[in-house]
Amino acid sequence: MAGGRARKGHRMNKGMKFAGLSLVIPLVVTLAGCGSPNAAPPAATGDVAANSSVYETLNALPAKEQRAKALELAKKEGGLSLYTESPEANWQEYTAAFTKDTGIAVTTFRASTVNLNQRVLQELSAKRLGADVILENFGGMIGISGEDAFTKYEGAGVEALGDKPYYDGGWSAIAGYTIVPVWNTDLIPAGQEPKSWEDLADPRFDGKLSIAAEDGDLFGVISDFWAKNGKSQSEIDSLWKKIVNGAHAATGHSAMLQLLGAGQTAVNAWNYDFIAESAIAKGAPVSYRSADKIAHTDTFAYPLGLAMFKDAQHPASAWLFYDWILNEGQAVLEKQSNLTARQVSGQDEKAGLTIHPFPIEIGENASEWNDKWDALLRGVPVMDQPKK
Amino acid sequence: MMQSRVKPRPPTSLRGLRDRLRENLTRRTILVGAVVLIVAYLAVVPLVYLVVGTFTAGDGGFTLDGFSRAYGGNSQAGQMFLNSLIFAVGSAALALAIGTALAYVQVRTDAPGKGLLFAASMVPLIIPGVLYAISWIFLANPTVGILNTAIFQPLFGASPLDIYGMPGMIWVEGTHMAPLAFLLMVGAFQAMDPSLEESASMSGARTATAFVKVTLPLVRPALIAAALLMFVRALSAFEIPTLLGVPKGEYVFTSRIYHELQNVPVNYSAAGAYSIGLLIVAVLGLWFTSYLNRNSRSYQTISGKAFRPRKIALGRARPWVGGLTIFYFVLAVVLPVLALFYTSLLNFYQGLSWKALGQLSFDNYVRIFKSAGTWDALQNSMVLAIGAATIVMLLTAIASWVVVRTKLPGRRAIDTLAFLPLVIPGIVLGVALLFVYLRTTLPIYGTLLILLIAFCTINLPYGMQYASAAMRQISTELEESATVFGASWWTTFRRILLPLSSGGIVAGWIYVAIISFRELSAAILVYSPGNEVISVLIWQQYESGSFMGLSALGILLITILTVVVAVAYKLGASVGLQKGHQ
Repeated sequence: MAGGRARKGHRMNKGMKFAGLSLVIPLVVTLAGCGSPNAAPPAATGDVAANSSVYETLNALPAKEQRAKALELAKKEGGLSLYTESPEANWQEYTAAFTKDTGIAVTTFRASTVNLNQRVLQELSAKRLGADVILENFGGMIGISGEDAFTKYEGAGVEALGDKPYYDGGWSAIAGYTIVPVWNTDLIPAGQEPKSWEDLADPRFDGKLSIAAEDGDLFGVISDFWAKNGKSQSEIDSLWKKIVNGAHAATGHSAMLQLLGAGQTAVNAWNYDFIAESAIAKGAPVSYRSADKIAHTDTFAYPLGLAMFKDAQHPASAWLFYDWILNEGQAVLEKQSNLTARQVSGQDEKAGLTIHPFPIEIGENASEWNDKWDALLRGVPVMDQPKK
Repeated sequence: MMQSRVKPRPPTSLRGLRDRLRENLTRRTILVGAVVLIVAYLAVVPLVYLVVGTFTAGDGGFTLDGFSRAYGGNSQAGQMFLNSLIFAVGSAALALAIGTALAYVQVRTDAPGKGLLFAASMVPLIIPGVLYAISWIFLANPTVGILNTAIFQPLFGASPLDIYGMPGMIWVEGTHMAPLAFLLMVGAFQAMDPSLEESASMSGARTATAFVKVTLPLVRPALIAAALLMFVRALSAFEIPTLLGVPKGEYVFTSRIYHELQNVPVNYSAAGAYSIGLLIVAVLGLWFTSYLNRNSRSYQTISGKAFRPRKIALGRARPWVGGLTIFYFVLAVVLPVLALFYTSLLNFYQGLSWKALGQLSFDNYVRIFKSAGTWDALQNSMVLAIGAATIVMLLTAIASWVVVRTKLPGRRAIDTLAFLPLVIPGIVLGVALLFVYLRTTLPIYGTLLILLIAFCTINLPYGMQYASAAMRQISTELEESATVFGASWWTTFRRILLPLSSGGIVAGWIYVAIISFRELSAAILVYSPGNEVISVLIWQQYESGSFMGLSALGILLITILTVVVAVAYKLGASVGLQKGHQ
């Protein structure tokens, strides 16, 4: 019995030594791994005065000399840091093209608009900004444009931006996209598709619509469009009530479109045209254009913004990227089914689409419209909410 | 247990003070003190940020606006609270029932197909919540769900399954959480002396009676820990309620938190107010379970007396149990994984059809395997999962000893603090970490260390529950005997407590490692380029709308983690996960 206990004790000791080793070894591996070369060095704020000088120098040069000087300075900086909310395939494509054209490597941090803004705001407040440039949609830009963190690009490429090249805070709309009703072509016969926003309230779409639960600003944009076209508030309310009634509320535009293609619902009340184009290119049975190749529903140019940071660690690279994206980059962005800068600013048209300017005031009051949209979806009265 | 062996005497001089200090600064005091401080630090950082953010207005002043927005006006707080309770209680009950039954069959019976049963018990844990919900949308959405179109429509001409709404939410969350209960209960059943059941049988009790009247009461601490953990986890889960509840207009607190956090600018005040509501419910739950565990000495089943776990012969029920195991395996594992695998072979998502089957290819896998980022992310995830699991279980083994075994003042506070990260939204935790580590000169921000800290914080509650449940089953007489024979505290802890609680600690290690591997919410905010982890890639696929790439990554993750779990399970055998304490 005693011998048995001793053997058992021995087994237990062996087990514990093994357990001890299996605890210590991973710890050592982890701590070694955490300091691995993969780990990026902590960001350090750029020199604002020196950056200002770089930006001023480049902006002040004659147009023909700007690119060459930017390239010369950028090559000494060692790379560009980009923060973006672009889909993975898109940012990989345009950063690869930029590197190919200029030889400047790009490090990219990709996150959703909300996460991206949280990170930038925290880095700005700690004066440890990691980004040289940020490329995100209008809603995201509004969230950080009040921080006095951007500096204006005034190079030759500014011509593509039209009469009003800068939004508040100093960023520009270097591209954009539109919102359109999208339908499943297997489930909606040709000719029966929605041809206006009002059509979405038609009984033929009862129980067939899916709507984006997080798109308060786009709800605002359509409401504003109706109001500007002479509809009364009660008519607008009535239309929305009919649209929302029986609709399938969902989160995530891409996910909505995937399920539309599979036939879970017949119509997305709205989605982004570039998401629809991407699905169409893969063979999904969806469309936002009628048989005549025209998207009959009026649409809006939702800006995709780019900004350079005053505190950038690589200001010449930031300037170079800005310049590149307004020139060679436009073709890459257009290939990804974005509107070009000229289309967003109304200088050029896009075939088959009637595009209106995006109502800035709606985007700037997105929280208010989000609350109204949320109340509508939950079927509760709209309340005056306290200021955030 | 913490009383000094030398009678304290008042210090009479500087020398006396020094002696007193030396007596108190034992290795035990230093170690325990350090662990308590680390645990408290990890938990307090996000908590302080949450509280400050909740009560601070945009202009920096004090505000209660978040509470009036969250609970007043048109918030429907009562309905949401009710929905949250139904969802949390329902899914916790389902998970507890499934997990306990699976653990009992695994440990205490001679049921066939134990390997299959272990896989059935563990695989849902491996699948990230967002992926598990999506796989069930593929399977059981009312119009094009595979089960509806391929089985119910042809056979019965109807599509009865609808994964959207409360029943679907409870089913998906419950089966997804069942492994948590399984792992907790496996340790408890292994550590149970079957002689008590044998006595019941000899006294004429039927197996079912013995199970209800003897077995379940003996594993009560683990049952209570599992119930609490799953109830609070379900309360704080956001992916499943958002994906499956919102389409039917069924909101829970977390879907409201998600809504507030999606606003630009983020409304921390309202999100914090909702979180504080959850926090209060969690603390009440924790206190209630502490109250239920007040007679913990009654459940100490590991004593100095040797015992040998006895397998219960199922007899004629054996094939039925085997059949049920296969049925559950098919339902909870095979169907969701097959749905993901099918999707991973598509070019664009479509329901099951001959046309779709003719278009299947491995292109998505080729793309993933060709991307260097995938392998770097896998390596980072592996390092972090192993590191976080090891650190968390080391910390919580000692912290749970303080909570369960000592009468130290403030031990409840440690227990409560370690539990709170469970209800702190991931984005709040991420922002809190950014706030702190952007302002320190230590090389943490921009490295994997910030992710390691995030994962350790997130997993503290799980580690504490696993370690505490295991610790509660060990009789205090064993420690007392060791002390009588002159063993130091460290020796007793290392050679008695750790080995005897190793079943629970290894189970906790596996759980924390898996959660760290697939943890997303905080990782998405604090990772840096070059430090991506696999869950970040998964989320990016989801946000880019590629269900196909997402599913391919998911299948890759499931394969790797299944191997990790199998290895950990085999290694765990040497310290008690499989064999128990013989």
